[in-house]
Amino acid sequence: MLRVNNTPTPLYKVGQIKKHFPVLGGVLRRTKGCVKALDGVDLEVFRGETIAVIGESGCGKTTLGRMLALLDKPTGGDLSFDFGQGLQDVTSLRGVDQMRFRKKVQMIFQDPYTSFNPRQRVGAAMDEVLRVHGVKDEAERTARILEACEMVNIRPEYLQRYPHEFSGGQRQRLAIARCLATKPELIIADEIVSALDVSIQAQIVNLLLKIQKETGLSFIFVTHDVAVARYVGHRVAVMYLGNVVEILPADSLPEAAEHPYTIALLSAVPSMNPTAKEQRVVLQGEVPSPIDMPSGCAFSTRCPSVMDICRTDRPVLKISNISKGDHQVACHLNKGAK
Amino acid sequence: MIISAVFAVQISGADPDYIDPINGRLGPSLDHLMGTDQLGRDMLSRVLSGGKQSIYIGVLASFLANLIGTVLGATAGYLGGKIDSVVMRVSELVMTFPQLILVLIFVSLLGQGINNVIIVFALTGWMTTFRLVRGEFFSLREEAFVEADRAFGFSKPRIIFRHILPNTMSPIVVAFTINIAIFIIAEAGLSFLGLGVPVTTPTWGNLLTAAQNPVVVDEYWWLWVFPAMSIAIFVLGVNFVGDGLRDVLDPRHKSLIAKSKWKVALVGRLGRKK
Amino acid sequence: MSPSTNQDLILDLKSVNVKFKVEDDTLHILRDVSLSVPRGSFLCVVGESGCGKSVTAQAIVQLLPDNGEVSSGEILFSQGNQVLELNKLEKFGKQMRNIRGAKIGMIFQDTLSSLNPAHKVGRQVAESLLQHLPISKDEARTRVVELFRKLGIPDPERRYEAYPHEFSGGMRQRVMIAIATICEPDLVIADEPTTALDVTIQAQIMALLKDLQKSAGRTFILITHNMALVSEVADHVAVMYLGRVVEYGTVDQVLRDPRHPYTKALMASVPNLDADKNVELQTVDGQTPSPAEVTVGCEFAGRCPYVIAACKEKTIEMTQVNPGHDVRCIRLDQNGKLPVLAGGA
Repeated sequence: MLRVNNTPTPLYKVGQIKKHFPVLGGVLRRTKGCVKALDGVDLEVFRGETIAVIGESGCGKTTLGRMLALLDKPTGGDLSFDFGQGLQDVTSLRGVDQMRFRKKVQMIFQDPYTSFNPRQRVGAAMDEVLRVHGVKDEAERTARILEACEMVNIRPEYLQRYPHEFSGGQRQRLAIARCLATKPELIIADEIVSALDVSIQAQIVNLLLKIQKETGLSFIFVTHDVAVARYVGHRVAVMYLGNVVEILPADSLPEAAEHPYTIALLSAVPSMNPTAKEQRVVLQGEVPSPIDMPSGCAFSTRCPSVMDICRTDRPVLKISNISKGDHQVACHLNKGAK
Repeated sequence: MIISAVFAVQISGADPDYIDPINGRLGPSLDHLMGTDQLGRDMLSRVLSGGKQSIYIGVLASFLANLIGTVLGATAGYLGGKIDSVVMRVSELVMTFPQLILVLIFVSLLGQGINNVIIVFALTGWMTTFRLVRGEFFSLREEAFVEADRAFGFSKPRIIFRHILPNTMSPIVVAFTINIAIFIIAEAGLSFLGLGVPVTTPTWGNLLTAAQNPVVVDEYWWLWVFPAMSIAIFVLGVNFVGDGLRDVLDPRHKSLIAKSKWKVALVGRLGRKK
Repeated sequence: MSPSTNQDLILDLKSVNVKFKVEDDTLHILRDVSLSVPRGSFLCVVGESGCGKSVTAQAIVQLLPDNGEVSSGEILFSQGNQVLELNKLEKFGKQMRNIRGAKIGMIFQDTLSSLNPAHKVGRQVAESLLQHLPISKDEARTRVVELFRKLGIPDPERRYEAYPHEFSGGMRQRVMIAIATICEPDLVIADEPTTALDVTIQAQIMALLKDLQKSAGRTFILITHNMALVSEVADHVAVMYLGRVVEYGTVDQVLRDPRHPYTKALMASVPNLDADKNVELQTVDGQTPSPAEVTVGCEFAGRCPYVIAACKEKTIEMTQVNPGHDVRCIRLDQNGKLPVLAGGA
C-alpha cells in the first residue's frame, strides 16, 4: 500500500531542513566548527500514514522529531503544514497561529518517568492542556479527556492520581491520551517504547495501530528498533549522520533495501533466522564525528561499495531505479532520474 | 503549631512596660517567674513580648528575602542568557560586601526600627535562596515534562510559576525556615550591639544588651539567660518544623507522624509558659 | 537441573534463594533458582525487568547490595579440581577477591559509570591484571595493549593512555571486555552489555564475545531481554519471571519450541524483520507484579491466559518435557504441551 489515501498533497512537508550547532572553543569561545545534526533533510508525511524514522545514535532522528514539533528552530530549510487550505510555512508562526499548529501536531517523549509534572495530578495535567488550547467549556474538556482515556484503556478514576503511582507503560498511555485530547492530526512519537519492557512495548504498539485505525491520525514514529519500525510504519525513512538516505514502503523491507547503510543496518539486527547471521554485513569502524563530516557522501568512509564519486559528491534522494514508485534512495549506486 | 504558640505568648497578663522601681532586680519568684529588670519591669512579659517582635521580624524578613530570591532565581534560572548574567552579577556584588557593613549602611540611611530592620535583612539576605532556586530551575528546565509543556504551547510564565516552581517548593520551604532562624539571630546580634531595634520595644536581641555588663552576667543572670534560651529553643523548633514541612510537602512521602510529635512537644514548652 | 549429569559443570546453582530487606519488609527476590552451567557453554538468562536476572549474577560473585543476602541454597564453582561454595566464602575475603576478576569476569551494561572517569583506561585494565598475577608493570602493559589489539581497539598503544570519555560506547564496552578477560577467567558473566549500543555495534560486540567463548573454551553467561540476540549466541537458555526460572533448555528447544505461557508470550510480543503485519503482536495483560504481591503459587498466575485455580495454590515444580528441556507449568499435558484455549491462543 503506497499512498494511504488519495490526497496528493502531504500533510507535513520538510524541505532541506538543516540544524547546525556551532561548536565554541578556546579561551575566547570562538566558533571552532559546526555540528551538523541535520544536514538537508527532505520528508513528506501524508494524512493517515505512519512514517517510521530509524537510525542509530547521532543520526539526527531525535533532532528531527523535535524540529517537527517546533521545539527547536531549524537553521535552514522549510517546514510547511497543511491546515486545510494548502501548505503553509510554520517556522514563522507566532502566538495564536502557533497554538493552532500545536493543537494539530503533538509530541510524545521517550522517558515516561519524567514527561509528567510530578506535582500535578494526571487528570489536572490533561485539563490544563485543553484549557491552554482554548477549550473553555469544562464539560467538553472532561468529555474529551474521558474519551481519550477510554481509547488508551485507562480507567477514569485513575485520573485523580499522581504520575508516580503509575507504571512506565501506563504513563506512556497517559501521555498518548494527553495528546489525543486535543484532537491532533499528527503525533510525533520519539522513541516512546525504548524505555519499556518488551511485552509492554507490544501493548503500546498495538494501541498506536488501533488509534490510527479509529482516528486516521498520522504518526511520525522515531525509533532505533528496525523490526518495530517495519511493523508499525507504512513507510520507513532511514537516517545517517543528519541525512535521510532512504525512504521505502515498510512492507518491502528487508528485501527491497538498496542503500548500503540500510542493508548493513538490517543485517545487523539479531534474528531468529539462522541464515541471516551468515549474510551479515559487518561494518568496519565507527560513525564519524558530526563535527568532522566527510565531504561527499556521509557514509563514504564505511561503505563497502564506495566509489570515487562518493567521496566528492553528496548524493541526493531520488526515486529508485529498481523499485520505482514510493521508494527513494540517496546513493550514487542508484542511477534513477527524478 | 508554632504560630499559635507565638500568639499564645502574647497572652501574658502583665504589661511589659509597667515600671515598678521598688521591686527592681529581683530574682525569679512566684510573682515574677523570670524576675524583674533594673526598672522593675516583669521579665516574663518582656521576654514574651520580645519574642513576639523577634519572631515577627524573623518571619517577615525571611518571607520577603525568599520572595525576592525566588522570583529572581526562577526568572534567571529559566530564561538564562543575558538576564541570568545580569542578576548573577548583582547578587555577587551584594554578596561581596560583608553583611554587617551593608546592614550598618542601610541602618544609617533608614534609621532604626523594626520595619527598617526587616527591609534591611530582606535586601541583604535574598542571595542564598536565589542561588538555590536558580540551580533547581537549571536542572528542571531540561526535564521532559517541561519540554512537553513547551510542545503544548504553554506560555513561559505559566511554565515557570505553575509547573516548575511547585517542584522547587521543598528546598524553598526549608530555606525559609532556616532563614527565620538566621534572621532572628542576626537581629539579636544587631540589637545587642544597639544597632537594631531600640530598647523601647523589647526584642530578644535588645533584652540581651543587658548582658553587656559583666556584673549583670554574674549576678543578675535572669536578665539574659531567659532571652538567650528562648532564642535557642525557638531556632531548634523552627528547624524541626522545616524538616517536617519538607517531607510533608512531597506528594510522594507518607506523612511523618513521629516528627509532628516532636514539634508538638517542643512547641508545647513555649506555649505553656503562661 | 538439566544438562546430563556427567557433564563437566563449571557453575552449579542449587535452589538459591535471595532475600532483600527493604524498610520493614523482606522481599523474596530469587526463588529457588537452580542452574547447571557446563564448562565452555554459552548460557543466556532472559527476562524482563524485575525478573531477578541481574540479581542472579550479583549473587554468584557475591556482589549483592548490603540489604540482600543468599538466604538458602548453594552456589558451587568449580576451579581446577576444587569445588568452592561461593556463597559461603567471606564477601570481601582473599579467596573471593581472587575469584572475582581472575576466575570469574564481569561485564556491565553502563560503561560510563563502571569505568573510573579519572583514570586512563589502560591503567584500569592493567590494574586488574596486577592485582591477580605477580608480573611487572611493563609486562602488564604489553599484555593489555595486545588484548586491545585483539579486541579490535584501533591504535592500541595510544588508546592505552586515553580516558573513558574519549571513547565511543562500543569502544568502552570493548574496554570492559578487556578488563573482564585480561586474567583469562574461566567464566565470564555479561549483564546486558549491548543494550545501550547501536545495533551495528551490538553485532560487532556479540561476534567478539562468541569468538572469546569458542577460541578459549570459556564459559559465558549472558543476561539480556533480547530474544533475538539469544538465538544467535546461546547454547542454553533460562527464562526467568519474578525470581524463578520458568523454562530451561537448549536454544533450539526454548526459542523454537517454547512451552511455558510466559516464554510463548515473550516470543510473540517481539516483531522480527519478517513479522506478518496483519498479525497483532501478542501482549500480556498488566505488568510484572512486585515480589511482595505474589507469595504462593505460580508467579505468572495473575497474567496467564491458561490459569486455573490450582495454579495459585502451591509452588509449581519443574517438569521435563524433553531431555534437557524443563518447564515450570502444571497446565502441560502428558506430551508437554499447553491446552488449546477457547477462542485461540
